[in-house]
Amino acid sequence: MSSSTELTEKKVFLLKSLDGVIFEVEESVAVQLEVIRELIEGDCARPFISLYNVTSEILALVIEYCKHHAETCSGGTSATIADEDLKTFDNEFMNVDENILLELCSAADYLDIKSLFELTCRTLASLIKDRTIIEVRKMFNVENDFSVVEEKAVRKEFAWAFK
Amino acid sequence: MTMKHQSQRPGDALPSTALLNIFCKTSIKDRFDNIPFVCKSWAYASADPHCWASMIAESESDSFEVAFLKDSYPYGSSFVDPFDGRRSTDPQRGVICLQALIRRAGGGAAINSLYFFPFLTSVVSPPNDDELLRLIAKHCPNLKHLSFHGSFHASEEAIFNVFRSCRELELIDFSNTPYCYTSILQELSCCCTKIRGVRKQDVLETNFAYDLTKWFPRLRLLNVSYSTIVDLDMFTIVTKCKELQYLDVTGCQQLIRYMDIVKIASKRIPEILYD
Repeated sequence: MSSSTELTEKKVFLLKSLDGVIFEVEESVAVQLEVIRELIEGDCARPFISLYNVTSEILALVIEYCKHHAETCSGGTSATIADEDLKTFDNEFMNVDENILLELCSAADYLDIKSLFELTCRTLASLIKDRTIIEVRKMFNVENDFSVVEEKAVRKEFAWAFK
Repeated sequence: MTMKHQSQRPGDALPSTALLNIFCKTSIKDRFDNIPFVCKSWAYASADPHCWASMIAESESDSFEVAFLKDSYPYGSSFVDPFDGRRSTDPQRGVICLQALIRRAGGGAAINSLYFFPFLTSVVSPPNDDELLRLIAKHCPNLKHLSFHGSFHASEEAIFNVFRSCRELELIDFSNTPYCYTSILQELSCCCTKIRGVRKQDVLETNFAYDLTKWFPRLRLLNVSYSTIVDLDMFTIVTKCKELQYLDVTGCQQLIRYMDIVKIASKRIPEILYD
């Protein structure tokens, strides 16, 4: 390992997931995670950054997303081609099962990655469309935790004009 | 660690900021019919006034422009009918709907986008247009996007009141209404200085182009597709509205020499739609 090439190499940071896996990411990728950008600026990013709310499975996906976005934006291609490329990538990236989507959304919120947060929210919103309440519960992995009285109260509160 | 993680229910763990953002991207029908009844955390998140800011789904950054300006009738998915075409015989129904929305939106200050079509206006007499407009004027001072489409019976006074109260208006839709005439446009331009886009399909008043260019010389977006616009009107608009960025004249049967006008205008207007 020669020190001269070391110097010209890009800065890398280490991210540690909830389940203890360490990921090495370049600065251009790391700064897309707003919380990490702040840590880097505050010089608190060494030796590694522990992310307590994100599993290695999800963190790997998040890094893949940020890497692609960083590369596309700095790739020197024209803005419209880059836009098209990102759109295609985003669409494919969202083609995962609902549980992964939910976790990606939580992670994007926690790590403060605006574009990924918007993307996952948009995809999750489209899953609500044309579905019954029971289907939505199943899809979002939530249970009906209303008591009969509470449900009645909410129904009354939200009543539209049709009775 | 992995085991513990798998036993969690991720949906339940979605933070309320994420839930709110997701809800804002759904149709008004989903927000009223489904979302609050899913579970307690969803009911809680949907109680946020911002969840009720808009009657359209705010799913893309240009959702408002598409719904209130660029889309042409029939609007398809941008103006969703929460009742799937079921119409009440109660003429008060639309008023009660709007009151319910205002109540959900913390009194109305959070509301930014409203449309009459297809379910607020009453299909049976007596008409409820003025009452709807009174509610808007009283409760929605921050309204930015308004579509009058489907409203026929409003009084000039009620419309003026909306303009005087809703000074933040940016996009306005007069399609399929009789309201797009001189005094209304004049009042709109005096009260609402942030207007940047107008949609007017269907029949145009004879001096529409003259009034529009006189009162809105700095208009940026205009959709007059499927209207009765004629060559001279179009020429007036493209020469006098010097900041126009978007013009839709698709399906205008009375345009004849529009290709010549498009040729002149295309140097300055980046997006012109025609057929």
